[in-house]
Amino acid sequence: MLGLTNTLTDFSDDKLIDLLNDGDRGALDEIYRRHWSAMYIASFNMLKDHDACMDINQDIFTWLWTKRGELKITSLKSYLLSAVRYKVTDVIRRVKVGKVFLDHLSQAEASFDNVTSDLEVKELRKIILQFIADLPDRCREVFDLSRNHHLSNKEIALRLGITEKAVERQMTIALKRFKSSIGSSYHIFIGLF
Amino acid sequence: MQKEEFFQLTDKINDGSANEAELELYIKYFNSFQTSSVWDEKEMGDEQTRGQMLLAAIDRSIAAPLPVKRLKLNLKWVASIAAILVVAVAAFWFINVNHPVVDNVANYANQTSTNTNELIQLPDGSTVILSAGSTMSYSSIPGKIPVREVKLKGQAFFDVKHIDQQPFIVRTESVTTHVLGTAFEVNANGGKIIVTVARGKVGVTKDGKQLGMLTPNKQVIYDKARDKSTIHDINAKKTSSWSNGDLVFTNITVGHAANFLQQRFNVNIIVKDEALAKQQFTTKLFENQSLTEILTLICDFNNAEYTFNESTKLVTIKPKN
Repeated sequence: MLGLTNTLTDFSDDKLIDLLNDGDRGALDEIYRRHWSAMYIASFNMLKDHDACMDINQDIFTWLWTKRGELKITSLKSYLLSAVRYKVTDVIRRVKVGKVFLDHLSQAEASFDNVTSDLEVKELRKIILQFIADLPDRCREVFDLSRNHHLSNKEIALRLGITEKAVERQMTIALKRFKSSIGSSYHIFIGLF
Repeated sequence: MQKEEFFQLTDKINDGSANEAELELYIKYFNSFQTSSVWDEKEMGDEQTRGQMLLAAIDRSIAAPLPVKRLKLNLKWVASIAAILVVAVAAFWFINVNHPVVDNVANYANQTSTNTNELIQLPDGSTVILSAGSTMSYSSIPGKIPVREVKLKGQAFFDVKHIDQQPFIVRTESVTTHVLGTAFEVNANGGKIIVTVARGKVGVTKDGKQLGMLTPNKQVIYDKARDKSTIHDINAKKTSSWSNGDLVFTNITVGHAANFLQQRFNVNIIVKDEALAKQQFTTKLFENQSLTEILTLICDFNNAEYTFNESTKLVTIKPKN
């Protein structure tokens, strides 16, 4: 890992994204230093599970690094929060939710404020599209179980702890992407299995 | 909202099928859970420790594509194999290929390993452990003397199956390595390309010009800037660290996986059933997984079961009845 220099800590988030896009590993470390705690807290508030929070935050930073060179981010802070919001959905089923969580769920709606959050919705939508574009792990897993291991949707649902409906949706996405990616990425797609 | 309803919502967010209203609803739920904006040490433990753990985890998952580490050969790996070669090259991709690259015959498609090392089985029976972030392709070029050729960007172990009259060639930038039934390592870290031989004999050429014919514990160092090469004595008996990391098995046969595990864990593995030995599967091994964990995983995937005798170090895998 590269050490942090004094200059990096002085840079704006925008500048850090530029540097990250240039492949500067130090920039990633500085982004981490600035934002990891807020991201972790946001995920922990929701999941109350360290393993799950570790997974999703690790994924986000790894993803940032693999996408260096093509990152177009206007506000890093809200981008990262949106990423947390999205990645939480990867693991939420895995986490044992307690009574506090359920109580919260049943009462939350009453406490919703009416402030519209168009920007947040937009950003979350953007994040989803970006992550989905990489064919999400679960989607790949579902496809693999179905096509290479010949499990039924029901068996896959049981095995992964998701609903049959979700299995269907994942398959649809996989097939859609599969069809649109025939060509150079075809082999890579196959190679994933 | 009830639990199941909420899970359906998060599923839809996750797979991208949620509409605007559902996105907004999810965000509202998510926000309503944000009851704390500061690190609560009582509930969450020590912040600094957690931060270091997370950073270390991130480091592990992205460290491999960083500058190529010096490769070291673990002789345990070599034990019963015709030839192993280890190649590590900096991030240049065949700027200088002298031969036309034949892509239409018996090719192994471009294979990119992402976050983990990947075990790949080549059509000729050779095995490659492709390090994280590396890319390779394989072609078998027919002719009077058929040639097996690998193009590599990054780092890989090659376990080359010896086939008479069929050279195995690894191309990396301007330096070409010919396998002559041997075990060796190539490392192109920065301005130098280093080939080290553990066993057997290796021919190394640069743009067709011979840099050296190496024997065990010899090393050739080629300096790209100065276009000069020197030969040194070296101790090749060093252990490999990167290739013991996480590993993805892609369409590997049970038999091949068994060979691989024999070397990694220093045991004997017998696959009782021929059809089972040829069965292909795909899975991922993690760095610190034990032999029994891995065997359980492989058996799960292939509807098989295993027995392991600790004192004789003998593993038997057979189909489940």
